[in-house]
Amino acid sequence: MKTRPLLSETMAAHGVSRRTFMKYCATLASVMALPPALAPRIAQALERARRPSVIWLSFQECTGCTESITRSHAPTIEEMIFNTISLDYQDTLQAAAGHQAEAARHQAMKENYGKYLVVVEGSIPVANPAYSCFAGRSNLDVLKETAAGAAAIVTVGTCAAYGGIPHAMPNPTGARAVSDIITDKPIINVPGCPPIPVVMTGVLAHFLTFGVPELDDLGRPKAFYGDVIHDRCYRRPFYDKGLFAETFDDEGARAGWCLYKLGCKGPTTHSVCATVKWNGGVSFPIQSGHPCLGCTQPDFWDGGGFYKPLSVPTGDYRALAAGGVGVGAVVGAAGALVGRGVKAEAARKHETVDAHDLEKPS
Amino acid sequence: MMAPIADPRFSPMPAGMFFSASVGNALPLLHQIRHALTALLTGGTETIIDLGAIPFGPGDEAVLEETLGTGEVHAVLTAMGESHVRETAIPGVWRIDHRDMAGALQSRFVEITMMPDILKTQREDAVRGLKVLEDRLAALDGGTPV
Amino acid sequence: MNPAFTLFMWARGPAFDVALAIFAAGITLRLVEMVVLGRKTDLAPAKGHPIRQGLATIFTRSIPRPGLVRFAPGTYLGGYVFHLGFFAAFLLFAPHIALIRDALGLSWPAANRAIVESATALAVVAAIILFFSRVMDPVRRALTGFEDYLVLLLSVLPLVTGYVAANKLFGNPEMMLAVHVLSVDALLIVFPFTKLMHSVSFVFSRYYNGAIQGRKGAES
Repeated sequence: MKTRPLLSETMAAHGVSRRTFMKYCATLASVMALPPALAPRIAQALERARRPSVIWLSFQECTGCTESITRSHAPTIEEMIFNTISLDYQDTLQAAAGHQAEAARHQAMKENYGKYLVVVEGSIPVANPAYSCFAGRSNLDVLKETAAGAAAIVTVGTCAAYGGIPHAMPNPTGARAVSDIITDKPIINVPGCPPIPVVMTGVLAHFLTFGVPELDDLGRPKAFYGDVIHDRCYRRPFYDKGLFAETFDDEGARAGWCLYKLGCKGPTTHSVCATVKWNGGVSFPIQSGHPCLGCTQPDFWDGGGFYKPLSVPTGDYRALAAGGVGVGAVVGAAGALVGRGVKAEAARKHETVDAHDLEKPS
Repeated sequence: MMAPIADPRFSPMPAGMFFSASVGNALPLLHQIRHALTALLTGGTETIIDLGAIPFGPGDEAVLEETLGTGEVHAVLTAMGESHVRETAIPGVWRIDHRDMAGALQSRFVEITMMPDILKTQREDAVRGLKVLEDRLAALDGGTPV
Repeated sequence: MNPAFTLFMWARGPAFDVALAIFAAGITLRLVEMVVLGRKTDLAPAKGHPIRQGLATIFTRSIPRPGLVRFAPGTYLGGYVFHLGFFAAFLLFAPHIALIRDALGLSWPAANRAIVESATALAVVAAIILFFSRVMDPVRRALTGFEDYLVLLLSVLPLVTGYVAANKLFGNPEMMLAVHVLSVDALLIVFPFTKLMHSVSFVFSRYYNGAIQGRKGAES
């Protein structure tokens, strides 16, 4: 097994000054959503970190997550991260193809058995594995084989984390999340469609420096998925004041009021979109005037409609209620008529009694 | 202090979308900075605020910029891209913007301190500097005079 | 995958559909029953104005009789605050207005958070006072049955769960949202078959009371 160099050694070899390193750590603290005062701790941890081998598996996906991470606004951060890790297999980015590519994966696994990191993008078809294969092997096979020697698995995107769009009703391929298949390894879910680039790199940096981060019930790092967008949204004050855009082109929409009534899923969606934002901090969907779709949540595609407010029922309740009115009217009328019949019958059977009758001996 | 807020020139958004300070997040942040500055003066506690973690709305940054103003110091680090360290018109309150080699913004902080750490020479660098100077002196002593 | 969200989707999906259908069917059933059953024709000549007084009584009964507020302040004031608070919280909160707009096409401006939350808190406090006024008074305690306690609980639950969910007081907020919607589903289901029906049938009972007294030329 090769001994991978310490990160500090790599940096020193490149003539990176301590001040530059501290600047990098300050940015990393921000990227990792840690308090800025922790930058020196990050520096200490990074100095001891060795470059881990990373195997990136692409299953049922659109490659949007890879697109996102490679189009990040801060290329040097990603460069440094990817200099820090050794990306030994990524079938979209690597030059090798076919048998050579598979050989690279097997070699990385053999050399770093028990220590490498597996990144999974996309869901795994289980009902019919033939829907997604590479090198003639099913995703399920490759995942099980690769996960066996992994130190941890990072799922990138909602498909790998929760099944995502392939898992949406009626789920024709029988798509499953990584956590449905692998149960004996730490799994860090980084959902999103796609996830924010710096969130992906932030999670990788956290794994590198402090190991597996603290996760929520859905396996997501709390640092990035601890708050719902609604609680960090700059439009939240409008929600609290009761000011809402009713349509996409009304006065409220132009004034930047809350998008709840246009179907915003911010109140139930956990992400840092409102603070970290997209495209280098330029904006995020709500700032651009569109409600949040809830893409970091399991089954967001089947949440009842992107433009349906969270408080609105998802079913065909109007028809059912109309049917209920009809049934109620018929049953109520029938019941009342039966009641009238009973009353009339009782009245008919009623025998009047007078004083003479009472006098009669019984 | 309210005057610049109403001025649409400072908004990155069209005038119609201007976001008033009353609902934005600039004001709470400025209050946080005021508390931090008090803490610096009374107990010497330094504070670093990561602006990347603040949910800014359109116009919020302009309010922050205008209220803090520009102070006496503006240092530029050249450390894998430029970093701008500026003291604001409120001495003790610094703005630090880290950029990468392509000039893209990487992280931004407000530091409430007498002197941002990033400006100080790091011990490791000084150790390396001593060695470099010694090497250069050795070269001067042993080499031919210029 | 996410039990809280799945439960929330069930609560606002199939569970709501069924609850609303039962609610609509039950209310219609009881209204039709009331109208079709009708009342026995009174052949005696009217001494007053039965129809006019009946209609007036629908509204005048909302104003307490002099002296009664002093006699049972908890019941009266608690009753007012609970009803007003409940309807303010229900009808002025934006997500509820969004629901009504989707269902009926009607919409009106929402109130701000302070108003909605104060109304909710006041309604809950009022409900607690009403509960104690039932438990402390021996006569009312004897008159109160299981149904009354159930109805009181079911009308307070949406307020409490809604407040908890909106303010993320405890528990998983999504789970609390699901519980909130479920509590409303439960309220809808029991509504037509319990004393909660008074919120519709009060119109009939007040009218009949007013009309009976009006026919006799008596006050109502």
